Amino acid sequence: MGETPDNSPLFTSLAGAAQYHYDVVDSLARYLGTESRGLVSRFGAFPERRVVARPSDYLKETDRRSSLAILTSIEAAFLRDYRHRSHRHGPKDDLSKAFRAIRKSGKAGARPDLDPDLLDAWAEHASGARSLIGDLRSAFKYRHWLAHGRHWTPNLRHDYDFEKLYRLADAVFNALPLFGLDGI
Amino acid sequence: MEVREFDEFVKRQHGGAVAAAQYDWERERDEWLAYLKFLYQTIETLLSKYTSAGQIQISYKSVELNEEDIGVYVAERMILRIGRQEVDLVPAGTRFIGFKGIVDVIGSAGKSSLVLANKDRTSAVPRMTVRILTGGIPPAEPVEPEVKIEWVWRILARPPERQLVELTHESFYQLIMEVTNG
Repeated sequence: MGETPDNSPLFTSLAGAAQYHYDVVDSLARYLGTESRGLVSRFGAFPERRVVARPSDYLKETDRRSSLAILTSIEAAFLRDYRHRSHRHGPKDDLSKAFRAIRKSGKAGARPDLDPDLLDAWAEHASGARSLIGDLRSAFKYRHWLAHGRHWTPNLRHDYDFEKLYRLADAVFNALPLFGLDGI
Repeated sequence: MEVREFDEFVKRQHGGAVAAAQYDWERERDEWLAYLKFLYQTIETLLSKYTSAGQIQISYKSVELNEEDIGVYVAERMILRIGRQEVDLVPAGTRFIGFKGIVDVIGSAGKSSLVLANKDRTSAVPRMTVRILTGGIPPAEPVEPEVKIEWVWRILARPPERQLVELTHESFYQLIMEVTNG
């Protein structure tokens, strides 16, 4: 059986994603905590399971996986908005018209890319969004790095982690009039 | 691709680059580093009771930051040693939306953040108004008078909370306990 649309609040709600992330971090910190026998001794009886990693590496990897989830949620929100605006009976503003032109041209296929297709249109047809769009472009370079092998040094505006991306998503969802954000 | 599209692309990129080049990023960086120094002095004061008793040791190490438009520069990170626990205060940079700077507070059990925020702000969500143009014209919006911002250090509550918490003895001790599972 294939996957169905994911309506889990852990994916569709920013607050849900944060609660899930910090519950995992807290559990992991407790599991790897100084009061336990520690990671190496815990796996000592099972050499095949021994991992050469420090507790801080586990927390960093967890942070990166949660970061990827937040970025995926942001991308999903922009694509939902695109679907609404690009509908032939969609809104009449400049951004919606630009989205309909993208859909009509077919150059972006059925699903346009967030960057450059959608973010270029937002930058051009929305006022007051320049700094948010700039940070989103940089954050999605980080997403590309996370999702495609992490074997190069990405050129980012600054370093990202779960909390910084959460704050960016919170700012974007509060400031941008994105359709279909109910519950985020 | 049409030539017109490429013309517009070059114009947009060039316009953005000119605006960024005109901004005094060196001054921005120096101001941020001065505020960072002030934060470390504040924390030294908050912990003086423990450092003078030899219960907490404070040290500093250099850290290299690389931010868009500013480039590579060196800042200091602060290291607090409390028995077997170590808490690192690592500057994350100044190019953040809504904050003039962020310092990550990293302990064995997690991370938190200190942010340089407008004193008047109480929420982590910046006040921004984005409007969609119609016919190339943005909807009319009231022009707010330019006010000089007073920047203060605050503790950023853990998401999904949005509070900016005043930096006091009590709140800073609580922060240290949280990131060390104390």
